[in-house]
This record gives sequence, C-alpha cells and structure tokens, in this order.
Amino acid sequence: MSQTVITAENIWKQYRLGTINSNTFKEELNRWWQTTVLRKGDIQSVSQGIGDEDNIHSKTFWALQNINFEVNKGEVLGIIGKNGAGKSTLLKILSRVTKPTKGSIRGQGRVASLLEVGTGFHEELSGMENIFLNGNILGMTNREIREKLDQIIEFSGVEKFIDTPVKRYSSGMYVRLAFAVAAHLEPEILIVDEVLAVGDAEFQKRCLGKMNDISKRDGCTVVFVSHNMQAIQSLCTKAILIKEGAISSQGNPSQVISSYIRQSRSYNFVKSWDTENEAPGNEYIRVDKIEIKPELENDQSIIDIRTPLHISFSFSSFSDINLCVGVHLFTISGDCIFDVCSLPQQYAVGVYKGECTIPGHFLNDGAYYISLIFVKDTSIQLFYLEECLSFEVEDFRENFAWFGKWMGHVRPAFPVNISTIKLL
Amino acid sequence: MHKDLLFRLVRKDFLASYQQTILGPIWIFLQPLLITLTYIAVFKSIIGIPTGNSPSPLFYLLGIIIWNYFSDSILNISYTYTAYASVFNKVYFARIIVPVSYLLVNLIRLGIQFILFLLLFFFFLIRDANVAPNWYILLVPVCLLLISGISLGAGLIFASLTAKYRDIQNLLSFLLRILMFISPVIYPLAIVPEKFKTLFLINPLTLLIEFSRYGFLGSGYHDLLYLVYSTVFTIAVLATGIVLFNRRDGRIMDVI
Repeated sequence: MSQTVITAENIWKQYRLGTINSNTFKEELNRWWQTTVLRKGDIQSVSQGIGDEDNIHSKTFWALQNINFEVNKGEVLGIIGKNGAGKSTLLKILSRVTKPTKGSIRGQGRVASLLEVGTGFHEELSGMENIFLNGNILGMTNREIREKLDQIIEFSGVEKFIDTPVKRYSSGMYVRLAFAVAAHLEPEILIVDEVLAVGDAEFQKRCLGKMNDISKRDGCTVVFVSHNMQAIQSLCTKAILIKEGAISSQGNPSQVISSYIRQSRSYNFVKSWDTENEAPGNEYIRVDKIEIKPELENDQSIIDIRTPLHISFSFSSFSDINLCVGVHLFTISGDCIFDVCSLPQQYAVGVYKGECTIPGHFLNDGAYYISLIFVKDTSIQLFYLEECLSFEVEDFRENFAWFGKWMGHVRPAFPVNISTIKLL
Repeated sequence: MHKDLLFRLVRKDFLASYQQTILGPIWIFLQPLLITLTYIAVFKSIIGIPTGNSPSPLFYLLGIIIWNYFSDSILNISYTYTAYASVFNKVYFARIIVPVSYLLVNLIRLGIQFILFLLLFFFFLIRDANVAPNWYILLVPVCLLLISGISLGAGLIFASLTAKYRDIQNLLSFLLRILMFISPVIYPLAIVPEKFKTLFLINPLTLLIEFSRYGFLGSGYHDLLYLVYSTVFTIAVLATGIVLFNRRDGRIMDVI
C-alpha cells in the first residue's frame, strides 16, 4: 500500500505581475535580439544589461517556493492555508494545467482534477449533452459515461430537465448536475479544489461523503484543498500547510491544523495596561487587567468545544460603592450568549479580582468576544468595557460522519435519551 | 479516450452553432449558395471578371467552399486558447485535440458543401455545359488534404502567438482578407498578367484552388511541379505550427 504515487520535488512557480502589453513585447524583442541575433551569452546577463528600467516593468512574484512532498497510494492529502498562499497554484501544477518554473512533479496513474465543477459546460446544450461533454473533458470514455448515466442523472436530481439547455437551469441545478458527473469519475488520483465551497450544507455534505467513499472504498489517492478544518481533520491521512508559497508544516492533520489556527489567529487572550492613564475606567473604577486562560489538555494547542475557559480580571475601586460586576459573552456577529454577574456587594477603595469559568462542552464552534460591565446599586450602568477580549472555539467531533456546521450558539453535552416503547 | 473527447468537441460545435435557429444545419448549404449568387451578381455581371469557359456558378461555388474551409479553419484554430481558456485552466488533456476538432468541424462542413457542389456539377454535366472533368479530379482530395495541413499549421502558429498578444487576432483577419484577393477565388489565374504569375504561385492556395477547378471543370492552372512545392510548403507550415504550439503548451497557461 505504501507505493508513492505523487512526488513533488523542489517546486517553484513564478508569476509575472502587471499586464502584458507593448512593454512586455519590447522586452521580449530586445531579449530575442540580444540572445539570438547578436548571440550575446545567456539570458541572465542580457536582462541585467537591459538595466533598471526592465526591473521596474517586469516585477515577478514567486507563488510557490521549494515545495517538496510525497503522497502514497490511497492517502488523502489535505492542503490548507490562507487565501493567496499558493494552494490553488499547487493544485494546478499537480493537475498539469500549468508547469512549475523549476522543479519536477511525478505522478503515477490516471489523474482527474476537479478544480471547479462543470468545466467545459456549454450553456446552449442540454443537460444530457453536457454530461457527456464534461465527462469526456474530465477524462471519462463514452462507454464509462454510458454505464453510469442512470446513476449520474439520479444523483443530480434533474431528470425532468435533462433535455433542456443548461442555460435555463437554476444555479443549484447546474452545480448539482456538474457535481454528479464529477462524482462518478473513477480516477486513481483525484485532485479537488475548494469545490465544496459552493452549494448549500446538504450539497457539501454529499460532496464530502462522496470523497470519503472514493478514498476509503476504491483506494483512490485524493489531494484536496479546503477551508473546512473539520473535513480535513476527518478525511485526511496527511496535511500540508502552505504559508506565503512555502510549506510551513506537514504531517499529521490535527497537528497541521493547530499550527494553522495558531498562525492565523491573532486573538487577544490578555489585556493589561501599564499606566493608570491608559487603563480604561472613570472616576469610580478602573479595569487593570483582563485575561482568558484556556484549560488545554496535554496534546491540545487550540481551543475547541471541549475546552473550559477561565476568565479573570482585576479592577480598582476609587470610592466606597455598591457594585455588580458582569461578564457578557457575544458571538462575533453580536448576538449575546449570556450575561452573568456577581451579587451586589459593597466595595471599599482597593483592588479586586474577579473570576468566571465558561465550562467545556458548552459553547459551539465559532468566534466570540467578551465585554465587562460594572453596575452601581443594581441599576445604574457605571462602566462598560466593550469587546475587550476575543477568542475562537474550534470544532471537535469524534466518530461522526457529518462535517457540516453544527447549529446553535451553544453546544451543551447533555444527552438525548432514547428508549424503546415497543418493537413492531 | 482522446478519440471520444475529439468527437465530443466536434459534436458540441455542431450542436451549439445551430441552437435556436430555424433552418439549423441548412445554413451550411445556404451560406455558400448566397455568397455564390452575390459574387455572380457583383463580380461577373457588374464588374465583368471573366471566369473562362466554365459555368460561373460552379466556378465561384468551388472557389468559395474551398476558401471558406481554409479561412474558417485558420480563424477557429487561432482562437483555441481564447475560446478554451477556462477549460485549459482547469483540466489537462492534450491541447492539440481542440485545434484538430475545429479542423474536423470545418472539414465536415466542407464535405456537406461538396455534396451541394457535386449536385450542381452533375446538373451542368448533364446539360453538357462547358464542363470537362479529367483525371486530375483524383488529385482533388490531395489538394484538400494539403489545404487542411496548411490551415492547421498556420492556425496553430497564430493560436500560439495570439495567446500572449491579442493584436495578432486582428492582424489575422486582415491578412486573410488580403489573401483572399490574391488567391484565385473570384477570378481565374488565367487573367493574371504573365509577369505576376510566379508571384501568385508562391501562394500555395493559388495552385490548390486552380488544381481543383481544373479537375472538375477542365480549365485552370495544373502544373504538377507546383503540387510538389505546395506539399513541401504544407509540411513546413504544419511542422512549425506543431512545434510552436507544443513549445508554448506549458507556459502559455499563465498568460491566457
């Protein structure tokens, strides 16, 4: 099983910035004149000879730098990274759509690439014609398509419209038909871009399910790019994190995912103020510090839905007042999840600290922020420190074959019990 | 696998070009017929260009269908990268399939139009007009093969150039228009002054059109030596086209 089917060695890819116009043409002519007609040595020295002006016009950009990896037969490789990191360029090189500037890529077996759904669909032609057209373009023979035609049509759910030109289809029908064709490919190596980003939750679920089937059952090697960490986590046997065109980590998917999340998040887990003037507050109170401490297990490096979060803060009181101190938790979109506060109490002049714990298995995955509120005499808002800390909770699922977004702001772990009334 | 894709693309082009039309594929007949009528009206009746002894409908129709085959093929093929950019950007298959499919589409069209020509030809033959088919008729397929080769080769050259600089596309339609006037499409080579004749014969199309006309109608230029020249020319153009197209194959995706 450990036969290597894809080997990428020292892949570099350079793109030229700016537009192609008469300037680029002049450069090319010049280069050609110098090298071919005047036979002046190699291109390198010539482009130096052309001088500074040339450098201004032909800025280049390395989209990929020194990419090395191997994929074995039957493995599922996930590629993650921010937008613009070079993921799609890498997929293009893998599927031979473009060539690397330097380096080589070797693959063994029939490659099918799904960089978009419905490649080559012709608007004017019927759904049926397009199944064959798209299938042929993706590398299926007519015989293969005919064998699977019924399945494809059934999977797409557009039987009634199969003889209608696809330009009359709704965008949903169009995508479903296109995916139905792609789903029935039987390649040895499947390359998939963020195809799953289109379509509704139901559709995405189907896509991921299908990919899971293909790799598990048919022993097909899959390379795919996704922003759905849950999907990467559960489908992939290996992951690569690309950052600014270079591989920043590769190996075990959960480790790669956590390093990605650590890299990409810049959440404030602690806020403290050095001088009294900077610190937020008013003539009655002043907040000195606020902090979130996630209670991470040994092997964890990111906050997920299991992680308890300890919130602690300290404040100073400047007069003898009656206060309730509250913690508000909001989702990033501004919905309040909860509003908890301390019992009303008299505070003498001094420094106090408060603590509050959000238990594990309580919040759903998502991004949240915290605000602090100080209320005088149980009714007057004395001070409100808005959005002082923010954090993100990642999803965690074990043995669960569904990858869609779990609904709800909270995800408590209390059980739903089912018992038998009678058997029929 | 490639064969399936090739014929699929041909089928696609045919189906797509006659969607939402009333006459559909009848246009394949109608278009050269209408052009022939126009040419007869303008070039024969008004301007008075002599077409030799041959009946003018046959003279023009043969010239037109051969010329259209040549010019449509080159134009279509030169659009390969522009028309297929979105597909080439997403899926890999041997790129040459697309230009070959364009050539096939036009070849099929030519075949259908040739049937029209043959019908008209037999009509005139029975009426015993000035039609004198001879054994050169057997060389007509060779001429068409050579024209296919030149179209494919030149189309590939232009496709490779157009991918990066779109100007070439404008240049091409201009060049084709000029080429039509210096090829014997609307006049016979016989009316070209003797001193320009060699110049005209440098253009391989001149000979290939004249040759076909001679085979069917019995009048036209028919020097076998120039057929050798045309063959050499075709091979050279085709080879250049294929080399350029394949050389460009890898890097071109970043500029289309």
